[in-house]
Amino acid sequence: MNIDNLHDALNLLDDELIEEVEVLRNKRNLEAQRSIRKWVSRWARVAASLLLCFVSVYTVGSLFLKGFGGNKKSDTSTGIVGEGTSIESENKGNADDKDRFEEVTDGSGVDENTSTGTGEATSDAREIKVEVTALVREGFVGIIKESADTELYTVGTELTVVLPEEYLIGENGTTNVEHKDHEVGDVAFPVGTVVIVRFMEKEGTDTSNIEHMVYADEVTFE
Amino acid sequence: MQDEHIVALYWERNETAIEETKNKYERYLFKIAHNILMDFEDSQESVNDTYLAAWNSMPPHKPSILSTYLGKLTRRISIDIFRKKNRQKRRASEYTLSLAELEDCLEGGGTPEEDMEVKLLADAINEFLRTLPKDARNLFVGRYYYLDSLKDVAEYCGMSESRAKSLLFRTRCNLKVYLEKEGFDI
Repeated sequence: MNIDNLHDALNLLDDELIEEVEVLRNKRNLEAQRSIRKWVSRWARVAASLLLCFVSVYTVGSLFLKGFGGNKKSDTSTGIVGEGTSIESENKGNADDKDRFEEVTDGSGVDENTSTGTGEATSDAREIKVEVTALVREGFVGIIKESADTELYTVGTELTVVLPEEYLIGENGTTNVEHKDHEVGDVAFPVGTVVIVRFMEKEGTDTSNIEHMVYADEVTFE
Repeated sequence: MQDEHIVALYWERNETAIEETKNKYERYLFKIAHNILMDFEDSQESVNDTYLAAWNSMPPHKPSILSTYLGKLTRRISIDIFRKKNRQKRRASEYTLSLAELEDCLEGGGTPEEDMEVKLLADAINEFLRTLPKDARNLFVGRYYYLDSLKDVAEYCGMSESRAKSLLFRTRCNLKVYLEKEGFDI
C-alpha cells in the first residue's frame, strides 16, 4: 500500500461524512461573502460620505469665493462712486455756482458730474433758478427765474421747492443744521433771494393743473 | 434547480443537465480541483472532465447526493491529472502537503494495490472516522478529502490552527494504529 492508495481510498468516503463537512464549508463561504458584502457596504458608505463632504466643501467654497468676488466687485463699484462723489464735492467746493448755472442755460445740459454723482441719474437731473417768495413747512415757494429746459418749466411759473432733509426748515424758515451757506437758526433761504435748485423728482408740468413741486437735491445761492 | 431534477435530466439524456450542473456546482468543483492542482487551466480542465464523467456515469448511477458525487469525480479526475502531470515534479500544492503528512501513516511504499484493496481501505477509514468525535472527523475530512488549507479547515471547524494541527496529528496516529489493527500492510 502506498500513499496514492490512501488518497484513492479517501475518494470513497461515505457521502454523509463528506456532506457534513460540506455544510460547514458552505456556511463559512456564506459568512465570508456576507462579511465581504458588509465590508464593501461599509466602505461604500464611507466613500459616499467623503464624496458628499467633498462636494459640500467644494460647493460652499465656490459659493463663498463667488460671493467674495461679488462683494469685491461691489466694493470696487462703490469705490468708484465714492470717488465720483468725492470729485463732486470737490467740484462743488471749487466751482462758481453762477458759472455752472450759465453753462446749463447755454444749452449744454446739466453738469452731470456735479448734479448727482451717478452717471445714470445725471441725465435726469435738472436745474432751475428760483426766486424765493414764501417760506413753507417743507421748503419754500418761489417763481422760476431761469430754466434750462423750457419744455419742462417756463420762466415765471410758481412752484414749491421741497428741501432735502438736511435743511430741516423750521416754522419761521430757519434751519436746524449747520450748512455751508448758513448757521443753525438762520433763515435758510430768505424771501427775495434767488437760489439754484437742483432736482431729479418733480410733480406737475407747465401744462398741467396740479401744483408744481420739485424735490430738491441741492439748493445753493445764486 | 433541485439535485433530483438535475439527475433526472442526466437520466433523460438531456444536455441541459450539464448546463444546470455547471450553474450550480462549478465553483464548488473548481475549488476542489484547484486545491489539488493549484493551476487555473488544469482545474478548469478537471471540472470539464467532471461534467463529461457525470454524463457518462448517469445512468447507471443515480446519486442520492449529487454534490458529493460530483465532488468525488472531480477529486479523482484532479488527482489523476496531478499524477500524470506531476509524476516527476511535484508542485507545492495542498495535495502535496497532505501527501507528505499522510506518509506518517504508511511506512515504506508498497506495490500498487488492486481496486478491492482500496475499497477495503476506504471501508476501514470510514469505520475509523465514525469512531472519532465530530470535530476531529470534520477536520480530517476537510483536510484530506477536500484538501483545504489548515487555516481554512480550522476556521470552518471553529478552532485555532494550532489545535487543528495537533488534533490532525493525533488522528493520523490513531488511524495508523487502527489500520494496523485491521490488518492492513502499512
